[in-house]
Amino acid sequence: MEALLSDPRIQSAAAPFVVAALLTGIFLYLGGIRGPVIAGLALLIGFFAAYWLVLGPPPWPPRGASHKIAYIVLAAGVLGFLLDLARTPPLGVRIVVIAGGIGAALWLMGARFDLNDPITWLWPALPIVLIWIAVLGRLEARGDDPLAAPALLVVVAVGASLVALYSRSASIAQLAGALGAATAGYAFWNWPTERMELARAALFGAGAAWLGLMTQLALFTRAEMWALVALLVVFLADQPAARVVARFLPTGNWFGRAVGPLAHGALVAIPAAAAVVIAQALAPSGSGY
Amino acid sequence: MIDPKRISATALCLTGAAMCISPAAAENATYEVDPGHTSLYFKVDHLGFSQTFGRFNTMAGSLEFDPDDPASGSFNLTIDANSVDTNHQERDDHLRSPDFFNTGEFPEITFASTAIEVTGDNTGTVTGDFTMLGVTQPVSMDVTFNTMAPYPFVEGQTRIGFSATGSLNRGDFGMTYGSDGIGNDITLFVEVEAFR
Repeated sequence: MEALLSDPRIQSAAAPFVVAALLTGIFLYLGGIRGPVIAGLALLIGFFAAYWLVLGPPPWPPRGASHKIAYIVLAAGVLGFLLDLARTPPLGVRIVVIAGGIGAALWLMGARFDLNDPITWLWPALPIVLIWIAVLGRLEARGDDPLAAPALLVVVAVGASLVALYSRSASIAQLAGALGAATAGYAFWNWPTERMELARAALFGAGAAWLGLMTQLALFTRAEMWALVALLVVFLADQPAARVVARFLPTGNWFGRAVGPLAHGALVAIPAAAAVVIAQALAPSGSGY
Repeated sequence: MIDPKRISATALCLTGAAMCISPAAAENATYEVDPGHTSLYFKVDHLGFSQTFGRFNTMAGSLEFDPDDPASGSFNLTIDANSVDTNHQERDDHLRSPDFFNTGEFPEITFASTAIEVTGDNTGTVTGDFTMLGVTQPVSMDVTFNTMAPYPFVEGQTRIGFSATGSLNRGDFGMTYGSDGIGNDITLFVEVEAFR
C-alpha cells in the first residue's frame, strides 16, 4: 500500500480524481438542496489528498510558498462555499475576488519582495496581482456553464504540470497534475449531462491553487517565463473556442453535449501545448539522473 | 604581525598537547573563513544503489578561536544554497527547486555554533544551530583540529585548519520530497581553513 501511494501517478492523477469524483457524487446526492454547493468541496478534498501524499501536511505557520498555497486554497474554497451559501450578490462576489486575489498574491510574493519597500515590489508585483484577479474573475464569469470553467482549469493545470516538469520542479508538477485530476473528477458528474451548478468553492479553490502554483513557478523556480505567459493565453482562447464549438457542436443533442466540452478543451489546449513546447525547447537536454 | 603567543600555542598543538590547553590565559581571536580552502561536501543514499556526493561552492564565515581554551570559541558559516554542485547540471537545477533546497525562497543555509566540547588532544564536538529552509535544528559535528601556523604565502597571516563530519535528517528541515528513494540521512564533511 505504501509503495502504491508513493507512486507519482497515483499521487497526481488517480488519487485526486477518484477522491474528487466519489465525494462529489456522495455530496451531490446526500446533500439535498445544498448538494451542489457542498459538492464543490470534493474538488478541494481531492487536491488536498494529493497534497498530503506529495508533501505531507503543511506546517503552521507556513514557511514557504508550497505551504502557503495549501492555506490559500483552503481559504478560497471556504470563501467560495460561504458566498454560495449566503447567495451573495455579484457585487459582493467581485469585492471578494479582488480583495482575495490581492491578499493571496501579496502573501505568496512576500518571500521574494520586501513588502516594506513598495518602490521595489510594486511594479513587478502588479502584473501578478492583476492576473490573480483576472483569472478568478474569469472563472466566476464562466461558472454558469457546467463544463467550460472545469475544462479551462484542467487544461491549464495539465499545462502547468508539464511546464513545471521541464523546469525541474517535480512537486509543483505533481500538484498541478493533481489539480487537473481533481477538477476532472469533480466535473465528471456534469458530463455529458449537467447534474449540478458549479460551486464557487470548486472554482475559487481550484483557481487559487493554479494561480498559487503559477506564482511559485514564476517567482521561485527557473520556469521559462514565456511558457507561463503562453499558459495564460488559454483564458483568452476560451471565448473564441466556445463560439467555434457552439457553431459546430450545439448542445441541443446528446452528441453535442458529450463532444462539445471535449472539443472546447482541445481548442483551448492549443496555447497550453505551445507553452509546453516552449518549456521543452528551452529546457536543458534531459538525460535523467 | 604574528603573535608570539599564537606560535607558541601552535607548536603545542602540533606536538599533540591536549587540544592546545595551556596554563597561560589567552583570548579568542577572530578568523575569517577562506572560501578557497573550505569545503562542504554531503552524501546521500540514491535508491540504495550508491552514495551520491555533492558540495556547495560558495560560502563565507568566521570563527573565534583561543588555542588555550577551544571550548570558548565559536564558528559560523553561511552557505549559498544556489551553489550546490553534484557534477550534474539537471540534478543541480532540481536540487535548487522547491522540491529540495528551494533556493528561490531560501537562498542561504547557515550554521552557528552554540557549544564546543573538547573530547581529545585535538578533537572536539561542535554543536550548533543549522538553519535550512527556514527551519533551525541542532546539529553536532565531530571536529579534528589539524593545525595552526603562520601562512607561508602571506606575511603576518596565521591560519588554522579543521576537519569535521556530522549528519542530519533532511526531513527535520521539511525537505521531504522523494524520501522513498533518496535518503533522509545526510552525511556532512567539512574542511575549514581560516585566517587572521
